[in-house]
Order: sequence, then structure tokens, then C-alpha cells
Amino acid sequence: MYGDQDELRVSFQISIPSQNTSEGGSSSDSNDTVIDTIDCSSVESGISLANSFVSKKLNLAHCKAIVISEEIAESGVAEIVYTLTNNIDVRPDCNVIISRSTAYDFLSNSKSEIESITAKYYEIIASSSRYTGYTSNITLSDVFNGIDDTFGEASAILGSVTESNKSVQDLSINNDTISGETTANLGDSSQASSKIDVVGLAVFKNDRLVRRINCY
Amino acid sequence: MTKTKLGIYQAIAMVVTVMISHIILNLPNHLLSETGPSTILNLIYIFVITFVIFYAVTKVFELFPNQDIIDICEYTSGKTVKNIFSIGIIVYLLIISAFVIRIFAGSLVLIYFPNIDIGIVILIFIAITAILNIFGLKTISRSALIILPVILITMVTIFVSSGSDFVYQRAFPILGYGAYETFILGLGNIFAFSSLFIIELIPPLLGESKDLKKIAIVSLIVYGIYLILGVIALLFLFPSITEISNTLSIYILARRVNFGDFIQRIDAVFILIWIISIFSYLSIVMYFILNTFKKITNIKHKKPMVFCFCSILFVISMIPSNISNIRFFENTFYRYASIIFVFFICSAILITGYIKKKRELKKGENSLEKAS
Repeated sequence: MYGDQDELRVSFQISIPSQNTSEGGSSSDSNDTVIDTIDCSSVESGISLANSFVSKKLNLAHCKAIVISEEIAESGVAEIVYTLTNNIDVRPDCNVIISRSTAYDFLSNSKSEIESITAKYYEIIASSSRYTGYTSNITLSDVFNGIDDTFGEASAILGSVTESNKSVQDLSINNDTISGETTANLGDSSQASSKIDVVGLAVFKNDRLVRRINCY
Repeated sequence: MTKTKLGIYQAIAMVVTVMISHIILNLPNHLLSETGPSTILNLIYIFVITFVIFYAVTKVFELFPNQDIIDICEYTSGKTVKNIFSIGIIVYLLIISAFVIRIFAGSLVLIYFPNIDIGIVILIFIAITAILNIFGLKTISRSALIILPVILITMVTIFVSSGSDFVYQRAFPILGYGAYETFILGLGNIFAFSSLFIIELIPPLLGESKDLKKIAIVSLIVYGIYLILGVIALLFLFPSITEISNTLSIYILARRVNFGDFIQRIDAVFILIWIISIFSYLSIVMYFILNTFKKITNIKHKKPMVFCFCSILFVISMIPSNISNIRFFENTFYRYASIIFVFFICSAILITGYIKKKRELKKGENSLEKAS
């Protein structure tokens, strides 16, 4: 989303490495994450600024999802997509999600209780399209190609945050219908929880978001 | 001590390793930036022209068994021209190999070693080049023979695994920017085959000089196929590769290689193989540099010169201060110097040599007839 003074507000969801060293896992194999948010003029400067106050160097090689808010997507994503495509760390199979709320809200609400590995969680919500058909596994290279193609347009995974006051005591996935939308309950099970749903597609014309396709 | 002679497979491996290393670097990307979607057509057209040229080159070498282009130059124009031409070969090979090592080391630093000085990476490459050259031709040719099939397998793997994502419509319009751009301006893409120049230095190393034709034809066909495969993969996968590629274009393809959920991110394996192939490339080129130097100076042992030329190689490779200098080199020097040197100067020497030799043979026949 747009920051107060700068053009962008970039949020990084980072696994906490110290939680894992004792367990022998890598930093991406963590359920404990921290979200850092930076107001900046571009994605590149956001990464640089993040590196200046995070005690470790950010490595985007294990970045699984890029979440872009609808507000930015409507004004054009070409610059962001080109920047990230040119970044040697970011892999082309990283998923692109267009969030109906801010990217920070999406990231802060995307907590899984049944998948302990954060990176795996993002991988699963995109690849679940293989057996649900509610969205498509769209990657950064697909979006880049879509923007630059002369005979097709880009699309991205559509994601949103939904509120639920329902208390869930067990850890099973509940398919609730809230305001006409099917959502997978992935939130906090013991109290009022925020949840994300990843259903539908965001459709672009050139690099601007023009339509949202849901699964109904 | 008997001199080491190359077998046909070793010679093919050496030539193809030198040529294919340019595919690992940004060659397909450069070709695409020149001729766009018509690059495939352009390459087939250029392949045919190059085939004819090098077939003619092998015909000339049939008249000069066990002699390379330097010997032919001496035969046609004398010792002074030979020395100037030999220095030209050394400078050309040194500059090309220096930039190859710089581009590859730069990409390696960018991808895997951002905190390591590029000089150290280049130094490692040059140290291994020196070691291989100290061991001699047998080691160089055998290492090329071992690594070449592995390189070819990696390239096929990349091509096959990315095949599912191909968008075939990107080949259209088939004539790209136009017929004139494809067939007339596109002739400049012939520089892609300039590394076949090594063929003209190899005859004295061959066990059987008549094998040269086979070596040239097989090397050209293998290289041509792999170059076209590389171009096809890039063209069908990326709508405008020139905008995104600041690194090895084939690496960008390798990053996409996944075999299901189990084998992912195997680009590191490819990079390891390409590092070995660049070692092999550098050692082969350094061998020919030393061989050419030996021909000028008539020194008995060339091994002590390995360190001198490796030092020069290191210095030249450290000259470009940034990526734009390297790009400038690729788009100007490599392209035009290769065309001028390989396709004009060398061809002129061979044509002159052919005419002179034919005249001599004719004179010999006439004198024999007169005598009889």
C-alpha cells in the first residue's frame, strides 16, 4: 500500500532463525515469524532499508510469495514485477498474490495451525489449486510474461482477509460461509480470528488490475 | 619424448567445449536482441553459410597437411606477416578469454558469492587454467572429453524441463523485424560461429590430418544444434529476454528446472558443471595461445610461459570496471572483431594460400610433363 510519505509500504514476513537453530532446521522451516514494515520509494530501496536494521542480510532466495495490495495493483505492477524479476535472489517460481486488503494485513493474518513451516504454508495455498480449482498456481515468471506478452494478459492469485468471531476448538479445517464466501479457517483457534482466503484470480490489462474473478 | 597427438574425439571435444562455452554465457540472448523472433530462421541461414565456409576451409587444409593457419600465413606472406598475424591471434584469444572469464566470474559473484571480491574468483579460474596447461595437452583434451557430454546433458535437461512452459506463438512473426533485418543485417550474427576458428589451429595436433574435415563438420553440427536449442528455449519462454537478463541467460532457464516437488532448485548443479566447462575452455584457449607464442619465438619449452600469459589474462580480465563495460565489449569488440578476424583476415590468408599452392602444384605438374 502507499505509505504516509513515501510511495510504497513494503512488509517482509521473516522466519525467526533463532527458533530453529536448536532444532536443526533452516530459517524457512519456522512457524514463528516477524513482520517488518518499511515506508520507501521503491521495492529495491525497501529491501536495502530492511537490510539496514535487520541484524541479518535478507535473502530472498526462499521467498515463497509476493503479496501486492489491490490498491497498488490497480495503479500498475510492472515496476515491482520487473524489479523482483531482475533480483537474482527471487526465484521465478515464487507466487504472486493480489490482496484485497493491505499486504501487511494479509501477511499478519496468514497463520496456519496445521502447517508448521511458514514457507511450506505459502507453497500449499498456491498449489492447492491442483485439487480445489478455486485459483491457479501463478508465479512471478507467469506475471512477468503476462505483462510483456503481446497476445495475452497477466493474472495473479487473489487473496483476502476475512474476519470470523467463531471460536474453533479443534484444529480441523472448517469450511465456513461468511458473507457468501467460502473460507478455509486458518486463523487462531481459541479466540476471534482473522483468516485469509485464497480463492479466485486477479486479472490484469497490461500491468493494471482490472477485474477479480471469484470461484462462484 | 613423443609428441602428444589428438584423436578425433578429443579434438571434437576441445572444439565443441570452446564453442559451447559461449552458449553458457549470453550468446543466445545477444542473438535474440539482434533479430528477435526471427533468430531461429536467421541461425539456420547462418549455419548453412558457416557450414559452406568451414567446409571450404577444410578443403584448403587438405593441401597443407599437419599445418595450421600460422604455417599457411608464413607460406603465403613470409615471416614478418606471420609474426604480426600470430600476435593478432594471441591478442584476440587473450581478450576473448579474458572477457569470458570476467563475465562468468561476475555472474558467479552476483549469484552465489556477493561478499567475495571478483578478483579472487578470477584468480581461482586462472590458477586452474595454469595447472591444466602445465600438465599439457593430454590432460586438457581428456578433461574436455569428460566434461563435454555432461555439459550437453545439462543443456538438454534445461531444454526438456522448460518445454512444458513454451509459448510457441513467440516465434511469430517468423521474419521478426523484417526480411532485410533477418537475412542482410542478421548476417552479423555469424560472429556466433567465430569460435570455430580453433579448427584452423588444430591440424598440427591431430594424429591424422585427414580427420580435420570430420572434426569441423561434427563440431559445427553439434554446436549449431545446441545454439538453436538455447535460442528456442529463451525465445519461447521469455517475451522480452533482453529486458531482464543481466546475468547468464542460460542460468535464468536453469532456475526454472524442477522435476516435481522432490527435485527442485538444481541450478546449483548446473552452475558447478559450467564452472568446470569454463576451466576447460580457458585451458584450451591458453594452450593455443602458448602454442602460437611458441611458433613466433621458437622457444623450446613453453611451460614457463604459462604463468606470464595467465598473469596477462588476469590483468585483462580485471580491466572492465562494471557490467556496462562488459556489455559494450560484447556488443562491439566481440561481435565485430570476431567477424573481421575470423571471417575476413583468416579467410583471406587461406584463399591466398590455396591459390599459391595450386599454382605451385600446377607448375610442378607442368615441369614434370616437360621433363617426361
